[in-house]
Amino acid sequence: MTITCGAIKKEGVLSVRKRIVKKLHHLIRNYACKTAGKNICPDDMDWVQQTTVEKYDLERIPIEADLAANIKRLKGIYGVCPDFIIRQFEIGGGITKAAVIFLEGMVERVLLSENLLKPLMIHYRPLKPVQGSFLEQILRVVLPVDVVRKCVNLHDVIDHVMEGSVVLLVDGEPRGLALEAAGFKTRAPEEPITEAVVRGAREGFTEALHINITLLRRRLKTPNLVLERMVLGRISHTQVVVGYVRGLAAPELVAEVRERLQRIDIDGILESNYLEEMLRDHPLSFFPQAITTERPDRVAANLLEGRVAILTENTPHALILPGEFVAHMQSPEDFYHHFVLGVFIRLLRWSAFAVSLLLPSIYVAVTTFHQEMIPTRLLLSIVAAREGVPFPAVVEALLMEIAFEILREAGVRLPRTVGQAVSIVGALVIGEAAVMAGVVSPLMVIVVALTGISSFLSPSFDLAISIRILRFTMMILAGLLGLFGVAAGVLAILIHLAGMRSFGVPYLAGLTPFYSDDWKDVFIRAPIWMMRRRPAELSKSNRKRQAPGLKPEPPDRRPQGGRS
Amino acid sequence: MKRRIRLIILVLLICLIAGCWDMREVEVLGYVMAMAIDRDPQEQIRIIAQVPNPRVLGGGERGGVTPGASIAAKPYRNYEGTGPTVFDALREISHESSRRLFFAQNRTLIFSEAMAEKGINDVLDFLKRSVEIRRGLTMVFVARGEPAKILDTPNPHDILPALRIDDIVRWRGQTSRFAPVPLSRFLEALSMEGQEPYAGVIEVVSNPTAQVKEGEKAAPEPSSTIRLTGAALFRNDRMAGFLDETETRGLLWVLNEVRGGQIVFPCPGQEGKKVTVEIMHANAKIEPEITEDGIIMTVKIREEGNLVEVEGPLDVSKPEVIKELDRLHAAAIGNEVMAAVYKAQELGSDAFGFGEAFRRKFPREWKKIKKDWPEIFPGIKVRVQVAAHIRRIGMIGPPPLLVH
Amino acid sequence: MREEGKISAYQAMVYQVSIVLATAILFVPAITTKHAKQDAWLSVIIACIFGCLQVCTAVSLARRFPNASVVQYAPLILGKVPGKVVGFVYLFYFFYVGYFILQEFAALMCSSYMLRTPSVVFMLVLSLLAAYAAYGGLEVICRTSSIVLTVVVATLVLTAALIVKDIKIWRFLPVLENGFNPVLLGAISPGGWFGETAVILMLYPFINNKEKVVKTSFLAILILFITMEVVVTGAIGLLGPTETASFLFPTFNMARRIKLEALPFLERLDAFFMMVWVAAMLIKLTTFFFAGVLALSQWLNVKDYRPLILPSMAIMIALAVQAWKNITELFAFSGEVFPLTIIFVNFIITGFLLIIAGIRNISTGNT
Repeated sequence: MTITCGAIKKEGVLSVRKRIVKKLHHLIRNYACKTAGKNICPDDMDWVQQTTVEKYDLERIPIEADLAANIKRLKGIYGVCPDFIIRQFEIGGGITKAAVIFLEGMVERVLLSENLLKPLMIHYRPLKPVQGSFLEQILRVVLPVDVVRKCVNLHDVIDHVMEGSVVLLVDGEPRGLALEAAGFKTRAPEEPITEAVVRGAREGFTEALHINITLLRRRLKTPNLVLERMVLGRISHTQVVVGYVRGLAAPELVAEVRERLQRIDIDGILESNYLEEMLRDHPLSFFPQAITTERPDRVAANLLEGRVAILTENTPHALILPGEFVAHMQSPEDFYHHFVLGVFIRLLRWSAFAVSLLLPSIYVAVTTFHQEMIPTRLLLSIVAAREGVPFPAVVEALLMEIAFEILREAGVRLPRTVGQAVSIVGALVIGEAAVMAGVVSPLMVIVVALTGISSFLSPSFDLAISIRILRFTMMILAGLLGLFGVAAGVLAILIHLAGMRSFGVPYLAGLTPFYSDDWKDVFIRAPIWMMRRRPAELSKSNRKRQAPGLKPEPPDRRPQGGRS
Repeated sequence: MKRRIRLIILVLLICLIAGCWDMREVEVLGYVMAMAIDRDPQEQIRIIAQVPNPRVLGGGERGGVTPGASIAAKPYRNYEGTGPTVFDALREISHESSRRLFFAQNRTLIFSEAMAEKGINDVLDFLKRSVEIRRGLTMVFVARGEPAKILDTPNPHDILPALRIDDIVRWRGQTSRFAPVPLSRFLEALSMEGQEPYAGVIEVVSNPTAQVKEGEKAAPEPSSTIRLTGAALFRNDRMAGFLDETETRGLLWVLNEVRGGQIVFPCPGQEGKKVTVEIMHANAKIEPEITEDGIIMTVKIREEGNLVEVEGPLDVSKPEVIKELDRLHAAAIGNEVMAAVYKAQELGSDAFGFGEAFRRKFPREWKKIKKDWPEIFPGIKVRVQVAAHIRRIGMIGPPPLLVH
Repeated sequence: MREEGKISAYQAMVYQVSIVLATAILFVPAITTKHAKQDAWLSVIIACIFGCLQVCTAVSLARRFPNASVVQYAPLILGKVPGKVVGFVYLFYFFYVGYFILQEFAALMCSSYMLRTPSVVFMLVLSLLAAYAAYGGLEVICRTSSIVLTVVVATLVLTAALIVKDIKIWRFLPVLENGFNPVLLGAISPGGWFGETAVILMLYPFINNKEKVVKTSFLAILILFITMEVVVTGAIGLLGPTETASFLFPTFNMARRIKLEALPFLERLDAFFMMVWVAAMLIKLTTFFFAGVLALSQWLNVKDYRPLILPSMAIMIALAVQAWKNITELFAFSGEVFPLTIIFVNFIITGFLLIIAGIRNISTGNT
């Protein structure tokens, strides 16, 4: 027996020996099974002794013709789980023994009894002898269920049961039927709290994948909307759907996403952030490298730009890739109002971005290093306000920002009713008292409040997080080196951003290199009839998105409508 | 990668430990708002620096300070320092001041008359070299009278004398009869061959409205008040003399610094009555010429104004009357300019920049005469051409008396 | 998926502009005006013509060897030892300018803004940032500089727009007061700076649309010419020639003069101007430093330049610290010696290489 030599060198002798022993043990057991002339499987393994039930174990256990044996094995695997139900019955009043296997709470009970049990148990008529197995005939004639899949081994059975199907096993048939009857409770699509809009769809993704897919399908009714399903997470078996529009998304991009997803080998995926952190190009960077959204319209809009979306089961948050910097400054609502408002909001947003990153640090830098910059009267009132404040401005700013973050975090965590009280107590009472006591200066309160409010203007919560953290760094730099420190910090961030890529797209795409078409959607939001092309870095081949000359005009001014 | 990050963090930590070299909190600085420079009898530089007391300024209501109020409530302190150089004298103040003096907010620089007459070159270098002094914002004045008194003239409206001076300067276009000049312009004129600097003049006058009544609760009018008036002409770094207010505007006409103001001239055909015009726009140009008689400077002034006051019964709704008024007020402007020119020639200070204008037009000839310019300047002929126009006449046509 | 180190001709242009801009806008007004007085704007024009000449030389040399940098093909032209020597001159030139910039930068920060902070701090911070950018590679540098450059040019335009009402035309009169010689004298140092665009000799192999390089190089010269002209005319028109010449950093004094009656809080913007200038200085340092490290790696035949970054950075800081004792020395050097040395490298040596390559008819390209 040859075992890879490279592995031996790397790992300790002891672990190698362990592995060899384990492997041998496995082989011997399989061999024993074969020689015993029984089934070609590790029959009736001691599942309780095994730490986990692995896919490769289950795949080797086929469904047997003997129903009782199958049931015994399944019971052995599931143990005493109260929601695991095996209902045994007889088809057509004694023709054959059969059993349905399902998880209580995962299936639609009415569907199960009306469309499965009733036809088989009560309304069953004997079948004409036709070709094919008994099971196939039942499927063709008796069962009024739309989606049915075949099961060959126990893995299939368990897999389908886990997803909410009902598996029908019939005695004498070495196969099973998985009838889709998922009926677990889900939330109805409602307006996402974090991404509310004034105008636009009030639907948001839910935790149920099939609803999310429907929401997306309804927006892009084309066979070119490709949805690729993947199951990730060894234990969680989370369904992940990669969606893109064929012909718009660059094939390399799709391949890259697929490849990176397949690389993931983890016990469970509970939220799409598990995926995002696994997919990132720059795992240590503060900046978000995928857009997260709960809004199907945002996903659809991004798919139209040639991006790829990843929908994850059990979370309403979809990931959109690549998520370059500029994409985090765009909100779907920019396009739902008149473009002038879009332009205004975009400019406001960029300035708010600058404010939330830099205002406290610039305040600190200007008041402690560059007093000459402040107009005289303002300066005198700042001095008067700071009279008696015991801390240097940096420390004051840091303290206030930390206090603000505490309040903010507390506001999120606390029960709604209490949260309100806390925010009032925190913001008003403590702030007021601190100013009155002369511990902080009133101007600092204004600065911190303005900064905090500005950070809420960001349409991307992820970007806001990175800004929140960087703000503290900037404040320290400002306290050390004044505006020079601020400039150095900004430049470091800039270099960092310039060096980043998100799925092959430069993180600063849209800002640099300069493409005049892209700039219509960066600092401003051009009218929709002006945005003729998709972002340059995303879609290299299929860039046109509308016919030329769509600018609407009154009929008498249209060239072809005129009477010369 | 990791090592690099660690290195950067390490360096930042080092900065943190040793750092903050230039950090100074706002409240530890004493903001010099006005500075007066003088020489004491021992020829030492004596400096008075006005520093506000923000505790009084910002705390509570911004009430004024009455003369005789307690010293604690006084919104400013005037520190005095003496030393052989400016910097030394300034640092001398730190023996008394609890705050480090900071000069970037200073907007007023006052030279005492005696100092200006003896020459200010010695102190100018510091003012130009210093990082903190803002040359474009600092206005230069010559004090008529004791500078310390000027800087200690309280007024309930603007509690800091320094801020008051600054505000008066802001509204200089109301009359254009005083000539504040930024330090940068002053220094520029000093460095130019064919131009001499000028500065504003500041003085303290008694306030005639001040009446002290017994048992009155409200604060009395201050007994004296700061007044900006006229200009001081320099020859190189020495003050040559003062211009009065009319002459000052004459100077400002030529320098293109007139931003507004009033022109009063006799009403045509009405003995003793006056007409007043407000200046709206003005523009001037100097055109030098060389003739057999010597150098002739032609000052061309274009002015536009609005009629604001007519004393006599003059029907200003007639175009020919306006034409007449245009002529008369052009003459009035011409007189102002000529008065200034005569005075400047008398003082021998070419604050108009006639020499500079000459140099620009005749660079070759200028090289020959530039050494003798101080002697030539008093003798040059100056012609003034004024094109003055009244554009608007206010809300009524003829004055009320004429309507009857 | 990542295309390592390929840039477009326009990005190369950004690189060329940023390699000159920062120091040029700061020092050109004072140095040029010292000689040419109010005719400094004429000097800039002459310097621009000279700059075009230098760029022509550099580009035509680069086009002969489209896939190598000057350090690599100098031995081809001159033979092994002299070629290596010339290569070393080039690579030392990059570091030389690099540490000169560092010292210049620290001198400005220490004399205008933060008097008590040791100059090493500024050098350290700036060079660490430059090293960080250099680790990112050519693409990162180009992207960073294109953003910074946009901001810098926008700031300059804004500054110019804010001071334009205070510019007095008469300050430019009389034209050619002292003849043409002072104008020529004043053109030397900006001419030298224009020549720094010869960095294209290092960048050429990385450009993916090489046919555009001639155009973009001249565009770079044009952009530089306009900005220099704006700064020079702005400074003279606002401060007057004598004042401009007497300040160490007239551009800052120009920014200091910005004054708006309506917006009193916009009065003293020079510290913000400083921030923008720090950014400009950083990209200048980065461009030189990167070119230097790249040249060093090619000279030593090392595959990757990255391991060389920190050591050469340390050497550069050390050189910067010890090279000039005080600011007067630095300024005398920057006005008199520095332009001549860079002209020597950018024009004379490059021209020499071009002539030899022409005579011996060596080229590796098909153009």
